Amino acid sequence: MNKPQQSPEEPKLNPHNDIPVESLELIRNRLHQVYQSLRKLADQINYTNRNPKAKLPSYSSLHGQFQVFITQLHSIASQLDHNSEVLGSTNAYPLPNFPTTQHEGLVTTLLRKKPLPAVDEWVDEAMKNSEAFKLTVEKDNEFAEWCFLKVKELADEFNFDGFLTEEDIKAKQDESKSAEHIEEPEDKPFVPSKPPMRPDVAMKFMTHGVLI
Amino acid sequence: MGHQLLLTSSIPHSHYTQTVATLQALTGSHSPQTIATYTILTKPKNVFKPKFEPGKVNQIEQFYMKCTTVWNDDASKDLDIAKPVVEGDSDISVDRLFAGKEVKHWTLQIADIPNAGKNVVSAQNFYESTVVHHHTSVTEQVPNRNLREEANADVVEVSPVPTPQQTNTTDDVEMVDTAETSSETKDSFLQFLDDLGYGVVNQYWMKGIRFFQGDIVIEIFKIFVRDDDAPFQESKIKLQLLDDSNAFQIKAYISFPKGAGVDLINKGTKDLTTLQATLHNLFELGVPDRMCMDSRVARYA
Repeated sequence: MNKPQQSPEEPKLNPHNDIPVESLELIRNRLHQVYQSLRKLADQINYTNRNPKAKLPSYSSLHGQFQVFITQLHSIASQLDHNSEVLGSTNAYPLPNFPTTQHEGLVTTLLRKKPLPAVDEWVDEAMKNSEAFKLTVEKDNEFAEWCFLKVKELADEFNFDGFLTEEDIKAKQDESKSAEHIEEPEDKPFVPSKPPMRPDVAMKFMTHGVLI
Repeated sequence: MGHQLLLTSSIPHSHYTQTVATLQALTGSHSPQTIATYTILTKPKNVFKPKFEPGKVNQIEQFYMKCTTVWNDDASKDLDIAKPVVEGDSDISVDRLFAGKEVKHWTLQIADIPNAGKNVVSAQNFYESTVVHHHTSVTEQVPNRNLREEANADVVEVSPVPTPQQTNTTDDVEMVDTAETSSETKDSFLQFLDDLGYGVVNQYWMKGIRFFQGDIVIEIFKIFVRDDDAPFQESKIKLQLLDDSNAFQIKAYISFPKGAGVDLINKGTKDLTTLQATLHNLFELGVPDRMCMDSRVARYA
C-alpha cells in the first residue's frame, strides 16, 4: 500500500526518468477504494461490538458492501497483474533532495518491500484455511442449483393469495357461519313471484300508512 | 329542524349478496350497522280550522307524525334478512310492544313535503324530537279502540296541535290506580299520543343494514306489517312482508342539522349524485315522487 505514495512528487523533479506514473496512479486509486470499503465494514461491525444493544446492519446491506469490496479487490488484482512487468522491474529510491534525516521513519516505511511478519502470518493462515474448505467450482455451482430448486419446490407448496393465512380464513369462515349471514350460500335461488315494489310506493306507505 | 337530501331505489332479493359485497368494498366497512325499528304512523285527530281572518296566514297545515323506536325483541334478533321470507313458511312473531313495562326512546318526526321543482335529489325539511317514555298500562277511556282503527276525527275547533318540540321532556309516568277494575287497558304511550291529539293510523317494522360513505347513509331494508290473516296470539303479533316480492328498499340520504349553509347542502347534493353515478350499475338511485312523501293531512273539502 505504501509504495505508490512516492509517485506524485517524482515526475516533476525527474521528467526524464521513466517512471510508470499511469500504472501507479491506477493502482493507488484502487487501493484507496479498497481501503475505504474495508474501513466502512470494520466500522459497522465494531459499532455493534461496542454497543451490544445496537442492531447489526441488515444482511442485505452487509452483503451488498461485501460484493462491492470483492469487485474492487478483483479489479486491483487484475490491475496488478496487468502491470506486473513494470512493477517487477521498478526500483524505488529516495531522491537526493528528500529530507532523509527528518523523515527517516517515513523513508524506511516507503521503501520496505518485504511484508511485515504479521502480514506474512495472515497470508499463511488464509492459505491454509482456504485449503481446508476448498470446494471445486462445479460442486459449488451444483449446490447453488440444488438450493434454487429446493426453494422453488417449497414455494410451490404454498398458495400466495391475499393477506390472510389459511388458519385466519378458516377462523373467519367459522365465525361468519355462526354470526354473519351474508357469505352463507343459499341452497336454492329465491324466485320472486312479482316485480319489486317501487320505491315511491314504499315511501308512500312509510308516510301515510297506506298503499296507493 | 333538520334538512334531508334523499335518493331511493329498490333491488330484488337475489341481488342482495352482490349489493352488500359491493357496498362493503366501496365503503370499506366489513360489518354494516343493522337497522331494526318499529314505527307508528299517527295523524292529528282533530281538524284544525282557523277562523278566516284577512291579513293573517290562513293556510296552516297539519302533518302526519312518525313515532319510531328500536325493535329489539327476539323476533328481530332471529330474523335474517338475507333469507327470503316466504308466506306460510316463515314465522315472525314480535312481542306486543305494549305488553311489558319498560323504558323506550321514541323519536317523533314531522316532515314537510319535499321541495318542489326539478331537483337532482329530493330535499325535505323535518322536525324531530326524541322523548323517553316509561311504558305502563292505563285504563282505556274510549272502549273498543284498537290499534289498527283509524281515529274518528270529529270536526271540532281546537287550538293548533302541539308540535313534538314542545314535548321534549320526559313524560311523567301515568300511574294506574290498580284498585280501579277495568277490562280495557291501553299503553301509556298511546294515551300520550291521544293527549297530544294524534291517533294511530298504521304501524310497520323495518329491518335492514346501513352503510356509511362519507356523510351519506345508505340503508337497505325490508318493511314488515302485521299479518291480519294470522290467528290471534296472546302477547304476540305475527308479521308479514309489506312487499311479497321480497325486494329490498334502498335509501341514500344525508341529514343536515338546522341552519346548515347552502354551500354545505350543495356539496351534499353533489356527493349524492356522485354516489348515484358510482352505483349506477348496481342499482338505480332516483328521486322519489314528491307527492308520495307529502305528509300533510289531506284537507276535507
